[in-house]
Amino acid sequence: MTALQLGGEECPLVTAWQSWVHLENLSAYHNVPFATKENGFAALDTELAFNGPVQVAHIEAMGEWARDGKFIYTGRRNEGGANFRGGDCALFTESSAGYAGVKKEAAFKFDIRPLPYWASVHGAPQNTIIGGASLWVMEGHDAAEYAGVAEFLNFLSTSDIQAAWHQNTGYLPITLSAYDQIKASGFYDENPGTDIAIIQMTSKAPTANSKGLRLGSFDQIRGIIDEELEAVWAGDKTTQAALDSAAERGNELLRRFEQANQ
Amino acid sequence: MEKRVIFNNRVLPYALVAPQLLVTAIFFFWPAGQAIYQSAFIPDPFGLKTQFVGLGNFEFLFSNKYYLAAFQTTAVFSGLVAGLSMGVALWLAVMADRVIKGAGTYRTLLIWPYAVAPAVAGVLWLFMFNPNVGVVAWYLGQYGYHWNHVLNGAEAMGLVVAASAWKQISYNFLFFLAGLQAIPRSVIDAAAIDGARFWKRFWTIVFPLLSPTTFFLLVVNVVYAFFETFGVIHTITSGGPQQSTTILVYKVFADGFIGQDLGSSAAQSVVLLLVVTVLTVIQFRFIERRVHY
Amino acid sequence: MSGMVEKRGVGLWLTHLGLVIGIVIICFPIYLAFVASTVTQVEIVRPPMPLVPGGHFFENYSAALLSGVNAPVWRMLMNSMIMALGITIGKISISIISAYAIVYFRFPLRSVFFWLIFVTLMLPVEVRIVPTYEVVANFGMLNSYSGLILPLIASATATFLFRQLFLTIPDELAEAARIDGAGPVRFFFDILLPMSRTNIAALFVILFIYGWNQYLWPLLITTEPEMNTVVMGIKQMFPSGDDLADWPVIMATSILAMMPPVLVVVCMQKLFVKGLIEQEK
Repeated sequence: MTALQLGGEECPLVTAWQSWVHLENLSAYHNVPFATKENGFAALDTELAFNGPVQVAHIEAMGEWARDGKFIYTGRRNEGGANFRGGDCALFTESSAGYAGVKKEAAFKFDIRPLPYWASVHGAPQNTIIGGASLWVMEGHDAAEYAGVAEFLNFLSTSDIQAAWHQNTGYLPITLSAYDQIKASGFYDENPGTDIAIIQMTSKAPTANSKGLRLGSFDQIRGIIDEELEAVWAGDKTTQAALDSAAERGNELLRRFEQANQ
Repeated sequence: MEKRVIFNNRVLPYALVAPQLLVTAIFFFWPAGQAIYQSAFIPDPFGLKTQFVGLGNFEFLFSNKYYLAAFQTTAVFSGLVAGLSMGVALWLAVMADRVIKGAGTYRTLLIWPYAVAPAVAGVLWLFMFNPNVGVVAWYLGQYGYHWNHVLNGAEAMGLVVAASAWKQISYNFLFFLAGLQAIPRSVIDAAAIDGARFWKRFWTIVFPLLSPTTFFLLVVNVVYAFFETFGVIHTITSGGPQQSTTILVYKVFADGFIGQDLGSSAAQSVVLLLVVTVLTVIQFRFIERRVHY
Repeated sequence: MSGMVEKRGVGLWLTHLGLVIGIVIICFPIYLAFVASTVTQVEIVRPPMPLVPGGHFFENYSAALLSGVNAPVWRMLMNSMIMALGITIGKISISIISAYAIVYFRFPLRSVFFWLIFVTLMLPVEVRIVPTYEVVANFGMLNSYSGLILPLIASATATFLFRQLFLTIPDELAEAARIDGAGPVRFFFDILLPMSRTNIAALFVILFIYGWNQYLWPLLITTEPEMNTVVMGIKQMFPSGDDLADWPVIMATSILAMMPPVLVVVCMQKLFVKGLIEQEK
């Protein structure tokens, strides 16, 4: 990135979804815990652990890049996409779902690569985790309705539907058979890089740190993380202080969630 | 001043009050009661079960650094909005009172913002100060000052204060002007004959005579800053950066509707309820003394 | 009325200057928005934007009115109008008859009703948003005009005002009406209403602006873009995520959102100012 900046680039790196890419996936990819109790899968009395050394070192580096003008902060969600697609920025860390927008609007050639990692961390690269919206089935309905729900979910999981969904949006197919079908159809040869997200996620068997997250009030916790990260980008807090504060505030919410679900 | 009762119909009065009572019962008393009731529970996000926690939500709130900070933020914010808005309005009213020709035109031109919604005021000011496209932000940049209220808390507060105060200036102006015009000319003239210059007249005569108006406007402006400025904050900063512009009413919305922490939001509503009650009592005690029942 | 106070010369010029500065502060943001609504997106995105209006007035405003960003603005204006008129007419209607009952009738629980209604002065809707939302949702009134209107007419400021007004109407009028054999209904329509005309008109202006400018409540209960009101809809035209802001359309919508209340205020200025100030006496 120094080279980019010296070459006159005003915006070497932007990102989308800063918490998801640079803390949640960072932790999974480097096989360090984001929260205790297997990232919340094992029990409700989990506590946040993303203020560990690996995460602090990474955010510290990003904070320096922000101060040096190598990383430009554009917003908590995917605002950076507009800058990247407009040709203002050189590198963009983003969800695989951003592919569709980039392909449509970018007036330049671009390439996709796996997420970078710190080679010095033992166990990296592990695997990345899934993100995105989900469908929930709620209890309290009658059997006939659930039969219909099951049929619908089966329908969504068929390889044809999954293939269409994946190819049009960039979100990942949820079954390996769908992946094989897409691969066989030659889609990945014609659109190089669109399979990187899948490979990144499935190439190694997941560990307790990389199966994903199951944390209560996580929407609010993300908001807290975003706030504390913004403090780091603005230079208002040191990285350790910010991440510690985020963990502490997040833990308060986790305890309330635990209380509400005993 | 008790009205002499004229009509003795049995049924008609009930029919007349019924619509208002119905609407008020359903959309006011029931929800207000619910807010108090719900403040003692923590519901789960899907609303399927709730846990009774008694005063637990309140304990959580008052030991939470960010909630207490919201009190301070609200106090600072309302003080600044009321002070700035009333100050500018008074200055303009004093000047408008001094001119005879054109007072009407000036008044017409100055009352526009009363009609502007706080949210729209927010959009107007955001557009001027947007770090990427804002004209004012760009001019500041030309002088070497990089305006970015997305990351700088003081700038964010300044911007929301400016937008909120701007909108309220006309309301205050109208009342101050009316108050000034109600001061008998003879009093001013007498002082002038005695040799008092403008400022002396202002501080010793005009300002004290304006004090009922001033006090009234102070309460109105504080209530405005507490509640009606939600639109300004939501459009410009969404309470950020780092909650530095999160006023109490915004926090009720953010925790309840965005964070889905309904127990905490209900408890916050109850606290606000108490704050409003106190403010209303103050308003009626000190200002509406003249009203007879 | 000029008395003997010095009002000539430098002092007067400075006063006019001060007022002009005041007007600039007040009008500049609105003027800038108007300029932005008449230029192209490109001119805005590469600052500085020109400070004189451009030539794209019709283009931008038709784009806003006919397609907007997520809903056409004409629809949002219509929703706002229905909501504002609904709140205004609804509130005035139920308040005036309630005040009439409280002042002119004796019935048990009269003072109880009065205090119940008085209590509602104390809580603006912002303080009870979550439970009111639940009530509205349970009635199936989300995304509906009744949901937009009804919760906002539940407070009693207007009842209070009418009560104050009625208390100042001389008893002799009511006595005379009774002697003439007029019942309460005729008294109301033939005497009370005409006497309250100016107050009703002033209140109409104030409530219309209050209703039109509602933000938080419409924000909460509308999820479909077609039900957006224009004031809350503007924020939703802002990009969330990685869209680009369509500034000329957003600013055109802002100007359109301001127009009805501003027109009402400016045209009915005398009446409205009198009503506003009378209200607080």
